[in-house]
Amino acid sequence: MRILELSFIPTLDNAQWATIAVRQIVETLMKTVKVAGIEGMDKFLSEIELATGEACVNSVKHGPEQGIDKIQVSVVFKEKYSNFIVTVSDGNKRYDFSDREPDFDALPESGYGIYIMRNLMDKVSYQREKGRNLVIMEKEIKQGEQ
Amino acid sequence: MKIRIDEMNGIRTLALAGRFDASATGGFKDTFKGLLQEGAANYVVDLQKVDYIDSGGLGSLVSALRQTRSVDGDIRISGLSGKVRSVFELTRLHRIFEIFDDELQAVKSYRTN
Amino acid sequence: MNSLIIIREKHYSWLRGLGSADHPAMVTICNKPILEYMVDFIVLVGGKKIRLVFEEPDGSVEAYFGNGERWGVEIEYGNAQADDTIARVVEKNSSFGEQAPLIVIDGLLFIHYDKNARYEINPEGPGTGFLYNSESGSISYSTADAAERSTLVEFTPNLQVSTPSKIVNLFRITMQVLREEQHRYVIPGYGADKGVILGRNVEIGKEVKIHGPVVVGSNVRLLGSAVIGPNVVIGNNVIVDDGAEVRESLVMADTYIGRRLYISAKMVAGSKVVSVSNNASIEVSDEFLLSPLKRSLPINIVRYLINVCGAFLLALLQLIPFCIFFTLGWLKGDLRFNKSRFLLSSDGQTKIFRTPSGFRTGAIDRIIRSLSLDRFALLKEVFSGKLQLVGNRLIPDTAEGREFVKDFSGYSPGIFNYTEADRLDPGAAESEIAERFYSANRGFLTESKSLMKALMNNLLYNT
Repeated sequence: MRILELSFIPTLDNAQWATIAVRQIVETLMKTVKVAGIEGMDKFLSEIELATGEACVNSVKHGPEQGIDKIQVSVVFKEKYSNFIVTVSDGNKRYDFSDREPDFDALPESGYGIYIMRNLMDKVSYQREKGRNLVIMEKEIKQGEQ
Repeated sequence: MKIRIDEMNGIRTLALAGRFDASATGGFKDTFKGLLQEGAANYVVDLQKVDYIDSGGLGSLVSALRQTRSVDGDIRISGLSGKVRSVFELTRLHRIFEIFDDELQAVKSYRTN
Repeated sequence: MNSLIIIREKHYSWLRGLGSADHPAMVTICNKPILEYMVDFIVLVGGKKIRLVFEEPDGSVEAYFGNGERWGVEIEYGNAQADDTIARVVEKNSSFGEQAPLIVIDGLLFIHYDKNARYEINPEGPGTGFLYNSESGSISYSTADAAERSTLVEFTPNLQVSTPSKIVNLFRITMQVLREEQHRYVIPGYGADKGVILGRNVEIGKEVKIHGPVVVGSNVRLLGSAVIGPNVVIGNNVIVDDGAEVRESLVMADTYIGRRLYISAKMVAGSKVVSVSNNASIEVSDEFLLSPLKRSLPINIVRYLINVCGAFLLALLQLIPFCIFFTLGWLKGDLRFNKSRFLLSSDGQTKIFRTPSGFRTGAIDRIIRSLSLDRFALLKEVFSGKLQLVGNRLIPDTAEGREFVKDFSGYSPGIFNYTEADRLDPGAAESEIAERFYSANRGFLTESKSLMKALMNNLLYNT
């Protein structure tokens, strides 16, 4: 099992860097264990990247303007289970991590984030621990991507 | 994210390149606001060189669309790659934007409308 | 030559949910998605690239067709709005249409081609025109340097085109394929007897009668003395129970047909029956008569509760011995365990379990096995529904294992298994036969017996 963590001061630019870094980390870890087919792997990486990006941006947006509480992102890779767990945690107030689908017909300009996360990752859950919000996302490498 | 503004057949085109994520929305919104103020109502946004788009980017496209619709105009999208197309379909935006392979065709489509 | 296929989902929305297909393009005719026939046709007339254009994509079509490798063609995907004209769609997909001659199929059409024939398109010079044009759709052709679509263009040899615009038409097309045109297409399944095609994993009871032409899908059980045919198509994942008779009908996927039910000239999907002659339809509420079949193994509540109670009791009985002997065994260093990944179901779910391995025949190890304490840790899986208390032998997640389980639709692994209950050799043919038999004939008494036998065997043969 490999664990890699990074943390950043909440700005949108930093969120972007963190997201790109997570994609790189996942790609490197995948390469160390499997010979992955190009088509499937790119899709897998893009989906983790986007879900992580949404979570990081959410954390930045829901925090104070000049926040100093760092956002922490951890990537856990369980080789045996072919499973990645990405956790994004922040020190903001408790979220309403609701399950509702956005009302697409109303053309909302926001609210897609969680919906996107849930659709791209296998499991998405929310916890509140020691004054921090944790968004925990899991994605397993399915056979087709190997 | 880079935004290249151009004009073809009297239609304003914006060719975006790079990551259209939350940190890029500010720049896009400002640019678009400026263009609207100049009076153009119809646009083509080319995403050929966009390699990443998130809900922030999508939201600002929707916001821009609303604004053009309020002046009886439209935004048409061209150059959707596989990845970007998937996110569009996931958020059902393929139903509200007219999507073209090609920037030029998108521009031409205004004339035949 | 390239092809655009514009799938006008809105026009065919009535097809949604018929059988198990959610997307209209995936509705099957003789168990093959209608869109696949269209793709086959394009490949037959020489198409190299196909773009499928959707109004309402849902991922299932893309998941099925992928990049087209399987059919020897490149498949791409695009979008259109519901009221776009063909010209508009071609405009939107301009990078596709410009390079080579283009065939545009507008709508979901069934083209009665013949896989053994050679087709040629005969415009003279740069040509454009319709090969077929009707209210429900059209097939048009244009060479790379053509302008408008206007004149009628010939296809040699001539082609008949049908549209599944109503249930009646879907039925008629199916019957036509079944009765007269089977040889013209690649229909999924294996054909032994003339006119009878069977899919994978089809169980046919000894007294079942099949009168061709009949096409049967995969994971189908025909029980007792059921009579099938003539002129019947049965979709995937269907059970036809003892004494039922089905003729001149279409049974869509995921359906259970009850005992002694007589179905003639109907289309059946789940609990819905449609009469093809007058288009009347009824919803059957008695599920023993007719009902939808869930695709995954149904979580039978009663069975689950019995399993949970059994597991709980066993856990209580084993708790103290487990604590004592495992601690002793651990201290002595006698314990060895293997962590391996096993298959949980025929749709590929897996989980990692620890199983005893190695044969350090210390006394402690023997006692643990004879009291079946080595299974103690697995009891909790019963509560989550992942394992039964008694069931099939756990198959490891290897390529071989996956192949085996794919064809075993009743696979339901247990902590104790039928093979050990009957003291069979896990590798032998008898084991597989017994596993399938017990799997198909589950009942409270037989399962309890198997559990007792397994526990007794462990006790008697390990000490």
